[in-house]
Amino acid sequence: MKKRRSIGQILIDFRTILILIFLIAIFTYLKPVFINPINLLNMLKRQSFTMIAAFGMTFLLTLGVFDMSAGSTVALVGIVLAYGLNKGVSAAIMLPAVILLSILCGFINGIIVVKGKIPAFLTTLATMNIYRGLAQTISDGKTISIKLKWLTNLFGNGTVFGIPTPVIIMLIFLVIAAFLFYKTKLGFYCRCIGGNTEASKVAGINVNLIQIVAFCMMGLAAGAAGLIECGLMNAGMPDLGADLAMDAIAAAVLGGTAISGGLGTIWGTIGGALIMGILNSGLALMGAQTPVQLLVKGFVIIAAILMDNMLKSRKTVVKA
Amino acid sequence: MEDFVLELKGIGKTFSGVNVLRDINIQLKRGEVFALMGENGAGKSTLIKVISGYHQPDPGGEILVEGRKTVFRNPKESMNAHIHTIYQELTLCPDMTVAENIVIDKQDKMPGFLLNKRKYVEIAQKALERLHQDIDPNAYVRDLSIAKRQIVEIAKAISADASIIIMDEPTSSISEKDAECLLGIVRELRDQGMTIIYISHRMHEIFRIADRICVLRDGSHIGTVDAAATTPQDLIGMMVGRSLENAYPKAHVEFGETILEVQDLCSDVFEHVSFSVRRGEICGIGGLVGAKRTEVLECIFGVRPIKSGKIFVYGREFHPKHERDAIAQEIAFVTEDRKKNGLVLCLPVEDNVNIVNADELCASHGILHYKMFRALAEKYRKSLNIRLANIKQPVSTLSGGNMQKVVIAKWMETDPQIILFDEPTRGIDIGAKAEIYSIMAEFVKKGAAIVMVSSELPELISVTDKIVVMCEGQMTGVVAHEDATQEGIMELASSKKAYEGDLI
Repeated sequence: MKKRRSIGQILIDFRTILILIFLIAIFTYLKPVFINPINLLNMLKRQSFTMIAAFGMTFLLTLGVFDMSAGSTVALVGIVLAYGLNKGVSAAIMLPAVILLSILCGFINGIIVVKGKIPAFLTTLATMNIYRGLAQTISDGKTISIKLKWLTNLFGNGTVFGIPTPVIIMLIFLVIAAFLFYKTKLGFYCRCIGGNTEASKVAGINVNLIQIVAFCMMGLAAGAAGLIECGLMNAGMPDLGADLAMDAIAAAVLGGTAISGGLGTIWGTIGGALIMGILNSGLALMGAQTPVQLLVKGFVIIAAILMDNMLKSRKTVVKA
Repeated sequence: MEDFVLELKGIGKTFSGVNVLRDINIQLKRGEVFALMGENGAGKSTLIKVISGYHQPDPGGEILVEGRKTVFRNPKESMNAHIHTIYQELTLCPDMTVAENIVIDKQDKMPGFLLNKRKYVEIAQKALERLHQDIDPNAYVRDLSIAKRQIVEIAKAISADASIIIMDEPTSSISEKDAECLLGIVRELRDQGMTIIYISHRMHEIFRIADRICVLRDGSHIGTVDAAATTPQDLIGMMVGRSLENAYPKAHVEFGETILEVQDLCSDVFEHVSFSVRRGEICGIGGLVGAKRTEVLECIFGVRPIKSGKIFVYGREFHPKHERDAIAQEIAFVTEDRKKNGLVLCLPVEDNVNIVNADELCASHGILHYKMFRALAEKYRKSLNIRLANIKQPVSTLSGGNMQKVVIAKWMETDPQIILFDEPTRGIDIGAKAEIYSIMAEFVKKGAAIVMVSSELPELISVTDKIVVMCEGQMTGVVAHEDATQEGIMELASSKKAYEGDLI
C-alpha cells in the first residue's frame, strides 16, 4: 500500500532545490552575468572544498557527532606538504604522506571520542587547537609557497575540458559519498547509530568501529579540502580553513541533515553548500563586501532552521 | 519430562551489595503467555535484563535454554538463543523506514557491504503479513503511532526467529482499542508455539491473556499461579504482601461553589468542550489516546492558545496567556510525562520540590533560602511518604511513584485550588497508586477542585465524581459517578457524535 505524496509534501521534500532555483532566478534577473557558465564554475570551484568537507560532516552529523577540527586539519596538511616539498622531498612521497596524515587526524579524533568517552564537541575543540598549533609550529607562523606548478594545477588552478580540477575532485567525492551513504551498510549503520545508539548496540552493530571510520573519512575529506585550498593559494598557510568546519556543518544542516543525529542526506548537503555558494557569488556580483556576505549567511542559516522546525511542527499537527 | 523452552535456576543478582534478585526459579513452557507481575522495584526489569543478556546473574544461577545450560555474556547472545525483548521505551530509529528497522539486528545474516533494500522490504513484508498487519515497509517509523511501532517491534522479533518474546508493559502508552489488537497478536503468536513473557500493570489485561502468572516482590519469587485459578485480589495480595482493602480510596465531600467552568472551549485540535467543577469535586476526562484530553488541560493552564470559548475561575472570566497566569490563579498542573515536563531529573529532590515556589521563598532578598528548601522538602517527604535515602539525591534515582509524589509536592506548597492531573498513576505500582488517590482525596477535602485525565477506566470510574468523555477532539458525553460503567464510557470514547445534552 504505497501512499501518494501530496503536493505539499513534495514541496517540502524538494525545498532545497526550490530555494536553489529561486536564488538562481533572482540573481540572474538582477545580474544576467550570474548565469554565465564561467561564473557558475568559478562559484563551484570556490565552494568545492567546503562541499567535500560537508560530505564527511554529513556522515558525522548523521551519527550524532561532528568535527570542529576539520579546518585545522586543512592547515596542517597544507603546511606539512609545502614544508616537505621545500625540503626537497619528492611529491610522490609527500602526497600519500599528507593524505595518511589527514586520515590520522580523523583517527585520533575518533579514538579519543570512542575510547576516552569524551564528547565529540570537546574532543575536536581540543584537537582543533592542537592541529592548528602544530601547523603554526612547523611553519613558524609563515606562509610556505609551493613551487611545483603541476601540483597546484592538479589540485587548484588547472582545468580539464574547461572544468576546474577542484570541481572534478568534488564530484568524485560526491559520487563516493552518496554511494557509501545510500547504498552500503556504512551509511545504514550511521543512520541506525544516530537514530538510536542503544538499539544499535543491542543489534550487534560495532558502534565504536563505525564512529572511528566516520571520523577517518572526515579526516580524509578535510585532507582533500586542504590540498585544494593549497592548490588555489599555491602555498601552505597556517591560518587556512578557519571557517571550514562551521561552513561544512552549515551546509549539511541547510540541506536537512539533523544536528541531533539519525537523519542525514548527501543530496541535501550538496544543495545546502550550493545555496551558500550562490549567495556568496551573487552578492559579490552585486557589489556586496565580505561583511555583508557573512551577515546574509548567518541569517540564511537561522531562516533555514526556523523553516525546518515550522515544517516539522506542522507535520506533527497533521498527523496527530 | 516436560518441554521447557527456558528455565531459570537459582538466579540472583546483586548490585553493589544490594540484593535485587534472590533465588529465582522459573520454568517457561512452549506456547504459553507467562505474565510477570510485581510492584515497581520488585525486580521485574532486572530479571528481564538477566534473561536478555544485559546483566549476568550472580554465580550459582543457571539459565537453561531448551534444556541446555547457557550463559549470555551480552544481549546479542541472548538474541542468538531466539530470545527477543521489546522494551517499554521502544528502540526503533525514527528516521528510518519500517523495513530498515526490522533488519537492523539481522546484519550478520546478510553478508556483503552493499545494502539490499529489496530484500529488506521482503523480510519486513513477510513478518508483517504473518501478523496480518497492513503497515507499509517503506513508511518512516516517525510517522507511525506508538501502537504501530509496537507492532513493528514484534515483526522485528518474529523475523529474527524468536521463540521467546519478552514484552515490557506493551500497553502502557496505547489506547484500549490498540491494546485489544495487540492482545490478539499475542494470542496468535502463542498459538503458533511462541512463548511470551508479558509484563503489565493492567490487571484485566493479564487475566484475559495470561496462562500463568508469576509474582515477584522485593526481588523474590513469591509464586507462579495458573491464571484460571486465581483472582485479582489474590494477586494484589501476593504483590504487596498485604491485602489492599480498597484499591481506589474515594473521598466523600460536600461540594461547594463552582470554581472552574469551561464553556464551549475550542483550540486548534479540539472543539466545543464544556464542563464545570465545584469545590470538593473530582472531574474526570476520559477517552482514548488521541482524544485530545491533555490539550484541554493545557488550554486551562495557558500552555495552548484558546481559539474560542471561555474559561471562568472563581466566577471570573480567565484568559490565560501563560503558565504564570494560571499559577497566579492557584491552578496546578501535574503533567503526564513526569520525566519530560514534571521534573528536572538531574536536580536533587529538594530543588524539585521548591521549583514553583522558589520565587516566593526568596521574594524579599532574591537569595535562595536553602534552609527553607530543605525544611519544606523534608515536610513533604514525611507527609506524602516519599521513599528516598536523602533529599539531596537526584530525582532521577527515584521510582515512578515517588517521582510523582515529588511532582505533587512541588504544587502543594503553592496551595492550589484547582489541580489538573494528567494520567497521575501511569507507570506507578498499585501501592503508590492508592497513595496518590489518597493525596487527591486530601486536596478535595480541603476544598480544592480536581480535573483528572486518565486512560485507566477502573481508576477513572472509581475516583471521580463525574466523567467528561472525549473522542478525537470532540466532547461526546458526560457521565455521573453513579451511572458510570466501563462499557458506557468506551462507547462514548469511540462515538463520533458531539454531546448536546445538559452538563452535570
